Amino acid sequence: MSKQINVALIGNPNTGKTSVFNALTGLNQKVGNYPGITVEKKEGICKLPRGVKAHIIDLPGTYSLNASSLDENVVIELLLNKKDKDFPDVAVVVSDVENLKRNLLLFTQIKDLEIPTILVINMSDRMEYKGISLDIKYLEKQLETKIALISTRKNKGIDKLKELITKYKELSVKPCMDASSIDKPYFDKLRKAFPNQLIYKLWLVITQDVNFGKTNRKSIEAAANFKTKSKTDLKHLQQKETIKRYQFINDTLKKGQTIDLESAKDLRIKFDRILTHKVWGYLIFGVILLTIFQAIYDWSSIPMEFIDSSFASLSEWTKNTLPEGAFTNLLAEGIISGLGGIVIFIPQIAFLFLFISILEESGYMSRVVFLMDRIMRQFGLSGKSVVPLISGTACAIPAIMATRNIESWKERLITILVTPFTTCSARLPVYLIIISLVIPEGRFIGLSYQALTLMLLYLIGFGAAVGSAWILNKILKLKSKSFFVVEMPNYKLPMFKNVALTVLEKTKAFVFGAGKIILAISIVLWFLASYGPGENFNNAESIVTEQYASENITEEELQQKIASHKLEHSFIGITGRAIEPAITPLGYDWKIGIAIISSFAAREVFVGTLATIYSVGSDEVETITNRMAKEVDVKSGKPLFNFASGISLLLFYAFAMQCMSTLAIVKRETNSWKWPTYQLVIMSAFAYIVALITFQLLK
Amino acid sequence: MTLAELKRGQQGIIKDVSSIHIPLKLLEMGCLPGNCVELLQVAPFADPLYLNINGSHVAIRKETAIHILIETIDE
Amino acid sequence: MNTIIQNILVFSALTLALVFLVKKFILSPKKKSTKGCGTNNDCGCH
Repeated sequence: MSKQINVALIGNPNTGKTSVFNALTGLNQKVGNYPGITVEKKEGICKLPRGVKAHIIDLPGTYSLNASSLDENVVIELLLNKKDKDFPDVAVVVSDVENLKRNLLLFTQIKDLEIPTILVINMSDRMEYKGISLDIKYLEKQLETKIALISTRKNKGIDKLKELITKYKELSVKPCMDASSIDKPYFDKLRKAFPNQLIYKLWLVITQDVNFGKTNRKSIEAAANFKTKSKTDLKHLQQKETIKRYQFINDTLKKGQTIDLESAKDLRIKFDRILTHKVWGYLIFGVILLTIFQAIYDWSSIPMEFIDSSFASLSEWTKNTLPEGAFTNLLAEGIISGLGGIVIFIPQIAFLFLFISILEESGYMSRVVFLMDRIMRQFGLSGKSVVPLISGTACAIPAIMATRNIESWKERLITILVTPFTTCSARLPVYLIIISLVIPEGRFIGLSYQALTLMLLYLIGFGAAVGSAWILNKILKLKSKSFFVVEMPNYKLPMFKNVALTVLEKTKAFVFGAGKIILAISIVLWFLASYGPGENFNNAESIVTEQYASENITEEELQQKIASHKLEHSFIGITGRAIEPAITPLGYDWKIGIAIISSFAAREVFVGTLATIYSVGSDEVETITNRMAKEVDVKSGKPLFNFASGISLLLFYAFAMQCMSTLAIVKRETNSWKWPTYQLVIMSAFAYIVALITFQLLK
Repeated sequence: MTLAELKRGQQGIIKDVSSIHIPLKLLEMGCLPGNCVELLQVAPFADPLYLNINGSHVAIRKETAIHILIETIDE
Repeated sequence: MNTIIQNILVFSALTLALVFLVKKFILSPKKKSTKGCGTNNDCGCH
């Protein structure tokens, strides 16, 4: 019979808490969301000795229980609510050996909530390097806890930690500090009014305005007939509490920790002198960025080609092997193509997050935030907007989720709204196909015109993002205090396990987040393209055969004409014809119109839809480019995809907000329909106008 | 003087952090009266500031630094 | 017989897809009461 206990992992950011979580849970972890709010919930299972199972929650990193952001709030909400099913039987506070003093602040707060607490001191492998030595026995006694000195990097101490967790009942729950020393008269009143509650708990409820059970700030102050303390008063008391805690910590560490400054080495300072340098810092960052983009582009082209042809073969195999019929067609043309459209982006997204994760794990990302903050603020963004903007070149969905660590609401909102302008991977297939159709061969300073056009489109994307951020900054009247505090952690070699798990997680977010929507829309679109109302569609064969009875055409050509007729009169065909007048001035015909509408599912569906439109009804599987090059404008007899219409299409896709999955995420992260609606309307209008002007000028 | 006026490489002792413009988080990271602070690196336009506050390596914006009162340590 | 099965499958797939899309986009998901995030600062709730 196995017991299950709840364990909460808490700690400062950059202490290797995630590494501890990964070491304890391995692949038995999952990432979800806390209900109602956009904070990631990370939990997993760990098998402990003696048949005990631990359900571990990796709580968001925080410096103290005084929450200053939504995700820090999650920590305190859980720790105050005994009735929550995840309320911990034991709390594991992860600290790192070089920042013990600061890490212990959080530790003492948690101890004061009288929850059994284990102190983990991580990065023990760095102790010698930094000249630090610890008297563990003394610390255990002073802090009334059990300490696990570990090194996740060297995989040491994890078993001891598991032992300690199993024996959690032996931990003392004595608080570190007597909370009433903060303000004796106030706390005495509190104690009298609520004799059965923890004093420190009450204090947190008052200062944080959180709920636990039915008690909240108002009910506490009402019950005891308090004169409500002002915000400033409370803040002063919080300061006093912080000072008192540090006094206790300093006293404890005076005897418990010795640092030999002579033997301490510091690489961080040396690296930072160059990496945050006024000139070199930026140059190096630029080089790193370019290298990353080049690598992603080069590395993903081979797997992408492989995936593309695999799915094409699978589609054909399905059609030939399964019994003929409507569902087989749906499978081959709708579902498999839809899935292919999702899978093909996995290489790019995985590689991008590989690099971003390495930069974050190594500690370099904080330096990037430092370098870019001032510039970004000119445009209403934050230094922390860099990661979302860069991630947006893979996919806007994980990028927008990455804005959660931006403290200022205005800066975060603007980042969310403009990120979709950056050239995401889904736009690439559209770009590449159009570019190969309409951009001439030839080189300019060694780079092909085609490559230059692509680069230009990327720059336009960034330019649009930054430009619209600037405009939004001027327009949006949102007051928000920003408390920008970024820790610059030590540089360290990224741990492969952490990087791998992060990449896995972000890729899953894309595949399942966007994937389901894309697949559903693919199915609907296939249906709309394969069926149509009325006489014209149902009697396609007889109508067309009659039409060409007098002409001498082959059986194959006849079949193609029938297919084309069917398409024209399908549901989708009718819609396309209907919007044709609106898009002719942009240089498009109704078939392109359909593809544009359907790429509201996901932009890469543009190419897939054209594939469907051109191959639906035809038995051959031609490569799309060849087919598109043959396409001729009915009225002029000239190729439909020419320079003017091509550029117009490229710019349309650069600016249009089409990805439904992105809109869904924006809605979730901003908690309202207002913002995604603005995005949709304004960006689409802008795209339309630009495409219109471009075509009219170039034709 | 304020923290924003510190020169690169200079050290100071924190004197007053009672302004409401200073987040509690900063205090909790060690920015308390009596603690030592050193300016390690500064971005263009002296914003943000990369500091060593009582052992914590952090970056803060100028708009916060101007509210932290310090006294320089003269070598 | 084959045609009937095929048509049923297509119809089911289509219905599933439509239901999913309607749920995702048209019905607004239930929101929990906004939690406070601290009395002394702005943390992004609006």
